[in-house]
Amino acid sequence: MSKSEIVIIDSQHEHILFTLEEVCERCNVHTEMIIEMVEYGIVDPVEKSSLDIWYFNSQALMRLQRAQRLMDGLKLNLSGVAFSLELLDEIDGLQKHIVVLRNQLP
Amino acid sequence: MEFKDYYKILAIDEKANASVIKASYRKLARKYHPDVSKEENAEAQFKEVGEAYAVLKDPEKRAEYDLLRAQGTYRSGGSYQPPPDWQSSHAGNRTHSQRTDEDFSDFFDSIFGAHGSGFRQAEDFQRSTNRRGRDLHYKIALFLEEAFVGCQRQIALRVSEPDQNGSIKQRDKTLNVKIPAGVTEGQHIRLTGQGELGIGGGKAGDLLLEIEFAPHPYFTVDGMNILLTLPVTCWEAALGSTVEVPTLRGKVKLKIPQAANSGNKLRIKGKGLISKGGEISGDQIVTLQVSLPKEHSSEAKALYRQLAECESHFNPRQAFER
Repeated sequence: MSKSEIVIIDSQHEHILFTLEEVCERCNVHTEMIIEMVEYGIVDPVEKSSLDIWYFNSQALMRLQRAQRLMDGLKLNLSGVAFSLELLDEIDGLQKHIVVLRNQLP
Repeated sequence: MEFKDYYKILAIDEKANASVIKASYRKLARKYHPDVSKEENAEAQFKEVGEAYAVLKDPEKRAEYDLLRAQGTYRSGGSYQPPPDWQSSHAGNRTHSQRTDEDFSDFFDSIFGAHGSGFRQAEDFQRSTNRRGRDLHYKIALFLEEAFVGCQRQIALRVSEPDQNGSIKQRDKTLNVKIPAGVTEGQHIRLTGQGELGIGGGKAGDLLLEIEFAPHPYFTVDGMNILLTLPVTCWEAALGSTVEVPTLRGKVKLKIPQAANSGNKLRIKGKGLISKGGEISGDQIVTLQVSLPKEHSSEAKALYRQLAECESHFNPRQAFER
């Protein structure tokens, strides 16, 4: 194991926004693909500011990458992946709710 | 090297036809897709299933594989070596037909490709100049208390980076990360440039840490609020009382009103989680739970009998009697 490096996180690390170009670079896709994914409601940009500049937060970035992996791995189309993600979110929410309720049982 | 039984991996018979293979692959891919699966080792299983399918869907590859399998060149549980004179008709053309992130096993490489993964990626490295390094994603589980006050964590990562010759090497590195107070579940922390190194002068990727909370023995997080089930005796509930309650900021005294009951909720203001900027604070919500001793002394039983007499008008099962 090599030497350890110390990283100190300050507040600037906590607000992460990516432009459409940065998202495309990180997902390795064309802008059209991201635009379509937004149109299908897979993610929402954080703010549609005056000049129509889209910003995505890191949750949205990870969701886009997850959507891509699902599309590649399971041969899903956009509406299939949008639907799957919605259901997965719902399951996630329900499971969290079960934990909360279970912890309140005697 | 371990012999991989692709038929077993896809849970199919060795005589299975192409449509059975495809159907089984699709089913298992859904089961083990790492973005969906709750199975242990989902990622490894997903890769294995993909590898098995890549071989069995291709009639030529399948025939080669069947030949090797039939030759009995493997012993169950023992190690496997392909026959010394083995020459695959596919050897060498893998770089063109497979995507680089499809990481097949050594076993696969020994049969279908002489190209090791280092070599394969090195070629890729030369082909695409100036590519940004990949981002790495890690989850770190924190105890609530750690998230609340901040903490320091050591994170061990394995990054792939090109060496002087351009072949990809894995390197272990350790980061000491100081996590600020007040992080919340699902929050991401970006460590710029701590991901995989870029290729051909491309920028390094980032390391994205996602905060998770480890289950707490008695606190539950609900948004910014902390939930706690508080056991109380029936006399504390009946008569009202002041009891000590744990919170993330230490113990506080909580007043239980008279005639309280199981399920009643009490709110301790401002003792929940704190938002990033510190301007909003959640509450701690305490749910009462009347609790009785396992056994009662004879004196207590006598008192209960007395209680039963003076409260005889109380019928908790009234709803059933209509």
